[in-house]
Amino acid sequence: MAEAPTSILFADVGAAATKVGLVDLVAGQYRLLGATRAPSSIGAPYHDVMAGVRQAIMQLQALTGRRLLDAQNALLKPARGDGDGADAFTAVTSAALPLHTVVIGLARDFSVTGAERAVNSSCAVVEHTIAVDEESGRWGTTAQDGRAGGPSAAVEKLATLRADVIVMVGGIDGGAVAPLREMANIVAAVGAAMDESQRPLVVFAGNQAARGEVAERIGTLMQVHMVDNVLPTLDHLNPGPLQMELESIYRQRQIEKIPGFAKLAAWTDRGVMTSADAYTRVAEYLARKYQLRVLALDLGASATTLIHTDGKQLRRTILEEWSIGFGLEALLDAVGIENIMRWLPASFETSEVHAQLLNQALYPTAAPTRWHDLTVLNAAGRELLSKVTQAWQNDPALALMDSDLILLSGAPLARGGKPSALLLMLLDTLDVRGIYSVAADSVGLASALGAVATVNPEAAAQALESDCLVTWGTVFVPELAPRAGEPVVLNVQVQPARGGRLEADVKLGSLELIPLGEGEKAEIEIRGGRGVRWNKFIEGFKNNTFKREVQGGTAGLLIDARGRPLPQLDQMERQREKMQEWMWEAGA
Amino acid sequence: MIEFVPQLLQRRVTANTRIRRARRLPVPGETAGALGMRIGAQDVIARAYPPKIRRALSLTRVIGVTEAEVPKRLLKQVGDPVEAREIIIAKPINFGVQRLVYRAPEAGQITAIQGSWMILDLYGQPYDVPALYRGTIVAVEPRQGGTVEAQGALVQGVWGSSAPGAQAKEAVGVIKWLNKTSDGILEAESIEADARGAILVAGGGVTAAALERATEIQIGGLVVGWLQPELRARAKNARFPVMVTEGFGAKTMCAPIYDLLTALNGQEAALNGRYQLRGAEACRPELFAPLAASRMLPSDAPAELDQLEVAPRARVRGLCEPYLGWIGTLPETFWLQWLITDAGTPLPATLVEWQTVSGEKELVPWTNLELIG
Repeated sequence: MAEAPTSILFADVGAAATKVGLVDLVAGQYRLLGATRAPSSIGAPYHDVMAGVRQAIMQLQALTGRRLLDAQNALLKPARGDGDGADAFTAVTSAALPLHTVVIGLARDFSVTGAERAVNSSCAVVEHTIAVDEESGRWGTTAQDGRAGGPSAAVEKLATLRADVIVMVGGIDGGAVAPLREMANIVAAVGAAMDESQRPLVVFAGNQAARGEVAERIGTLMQVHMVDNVLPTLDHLNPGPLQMELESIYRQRQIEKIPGFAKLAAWTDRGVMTSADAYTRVAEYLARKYQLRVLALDLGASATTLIHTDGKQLRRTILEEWSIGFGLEALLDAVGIENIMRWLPASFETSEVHAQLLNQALYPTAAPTRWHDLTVLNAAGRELLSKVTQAWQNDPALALMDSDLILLSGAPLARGGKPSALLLMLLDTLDVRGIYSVAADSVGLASALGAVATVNPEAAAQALESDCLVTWGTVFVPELAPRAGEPVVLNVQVQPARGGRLEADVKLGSLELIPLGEGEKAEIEIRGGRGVRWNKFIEGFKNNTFKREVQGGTAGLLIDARGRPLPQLDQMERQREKMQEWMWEAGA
Repeated sequence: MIEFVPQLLQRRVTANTRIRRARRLPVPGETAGALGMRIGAQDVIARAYPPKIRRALSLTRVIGVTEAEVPKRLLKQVGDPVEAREIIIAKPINFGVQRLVYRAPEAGQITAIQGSWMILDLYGQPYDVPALYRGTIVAVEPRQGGTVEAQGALVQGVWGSSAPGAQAKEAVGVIKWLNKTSDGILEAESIEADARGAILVAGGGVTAAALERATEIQIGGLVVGWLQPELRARAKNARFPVMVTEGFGAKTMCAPIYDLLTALNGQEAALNGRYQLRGAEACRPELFAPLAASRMLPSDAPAELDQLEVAPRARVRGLCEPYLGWIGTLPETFWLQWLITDAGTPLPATLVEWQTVSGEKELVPWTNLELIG
């Protein structure tokens, strides 16, 4: 078996910024020797992804004193005896535009929902859905005298959209074929009406018994890919194969279109991964290694990714339209400025906040340095996260509120957000309860290290844990049902290992931040009143008292006695005053 | 101190440059120009014939024929043109005494029949792509369009009213300043009938009433320094292109853009409102004023660099508050150093000499600057 490379240069090519890093052995341990970033160079005036990659590598050369490029700006690979160069190069990217899809299926609540889940787990967006069961009457019955309505209108919209992929779903395996035959006719007619160069690709993920008829009707006009049924039986949703197929199409149709991509791919040993796949790999690694339920968030400039995994099962959503970078304008259009203002203290003025967010969308890599401006971006982050997780909160199959570790990556960290402020942003929007840790991808290279793992898993893991992830602290969120006249709900006693003792009474509706630095340990004892409930499976819990050794972090220990769901006041003004109080309490 | 200084984002604002712009149809059609041909801004470089409406009909359901019967009952075939009220499909009823028919609602063409589904394209107006940039055709893409090379003044904005995927908003007209100050707001009262077809410029911003008045008068396009956030939807819905040169809020147009647009007042220009922030086709809205042909360089002469370089005394612009829209210069000798933010995070930064009244120097994160020139 070939020996794993020891020095690995790696790149993360984003839509706005390109980051590179170098991992190598230092005193028997793999360490991150340096990390740099440069503006991505996909658009004008460069139109070559390699310009940004080389810029970032040149910075890295200056930072580490190690030559990585030769006189012709080609990669020095493998590493040379004098220490210059690297043994391997890996890359991830999130720079490509998403796939635009249309989903057409038989039943909204079954096959169409399953297909949408698969699309939303990939780097793709659903432009339009047609669910046969949703349309009034039968197909085409409302189209009379050339006036289209109902189903015909839906098909006409399909014919005018310029989708990259049409996803066809419907029926359980072995079920009736006739409705799918009709759908195949619709898709074939729409395809036939388009110019050959603009016809979308069709992915069929419905009743397998209909494959022959679908291929017969569509195959002569458009490329058809057959994948396993997204709903093989009524009680089993199977979005995985469709998701994998969409990812494969995304790589071929979108990533490979990035200018200069072929040169980037030629440098790599294992091809270029999507950032979302690489980040998923990191979340799964942490879940498996520490046996945790991990909720990983990547708030990128171009997309927002949420991953929940316990190492065995995985759920992922990639939101390509909304982000706290390029997608801020779309987010504002969707939610309205008022919904962002509710997350801000009363001193913030609406039109200024609105303008700032739109300006940030124009230049996503700009890093505001003032508390005021960072707070505005965090408010947008709150609204984004609350929207993204809304669908997840209602999914009984997903124990989101029982996560053990929240991992945050992306633009808020790159912009230099304050840990306690970002921690509060997560607490405000993710309904995770109990006791859990929060960590951050401090150098923004977690995804890229996911790709490093494909050539040297040990190097990726050691660099990730020693130089990339930073623990922000431990969070305590009990379930509260207090009785009247009991304002104090929690008594907290902390005994840090370095000595001393801290005691605090945490009142209902408030937060308490207890400083305990990174790497420090402390014995914590939390006594709850009668209205306080903890998950009884939490280690260290007995007789409504929690006692255990916990770890500190950059922010510390945060006790959140605000209750869940978070109290929402009727009056916006009072709500915003409350936000101010919480920010003070959390040190945000 | 950080030894290597990376490239910056950049924006072109220049009195003379040579540009190449692809001009493509949204759907395949026909090209009108030839390689090496000189072309005017309003000359058509490509034309397509998209349908006005694409009708989708289930013939089975409309007149009650089975899928198998459809071919037998059709009186027209795929590719056939149809006149308004012309019968496309007929089915005998009442023992052949009468027949049930489906007539074309308007003139058009049958573009597809699959099973029982028919797609009928109703004829629309031809869709023309003008050259927009007066210059020379340097590449032709059959059925798609071509690339035009042009020389002249170029002002790139930050936001345009023609979003990705939406219909292109472009105009050719004479640049007309109505309130020649860098912070002047364009008011409805100042837009008179002679503004029809012109590209109006205002340094500060525009009022909602002025946007409405501009629509009534049918101006060619609008360039403003700033736009109030609440007017963004109106600007997007306007029929004419809108280009914002600085951003959202209420401030003044930066000096390099103000000076150049002032110098261009009264000249003919092309305004392209298209903006796309991501991907290989990322672009900013732009105003281009072509040079007189006598002042143009021959097309084989070396072109001006199409990218700006980080260099001593290079002109930069601030990208976020508190210096959003400010113009400054990099020092004669400059380097990157660490700036600790309010949040305690170190960011690579450089000293910038702002061209403000007080001319202050400030340490600014590198990511918060763009080259302009």
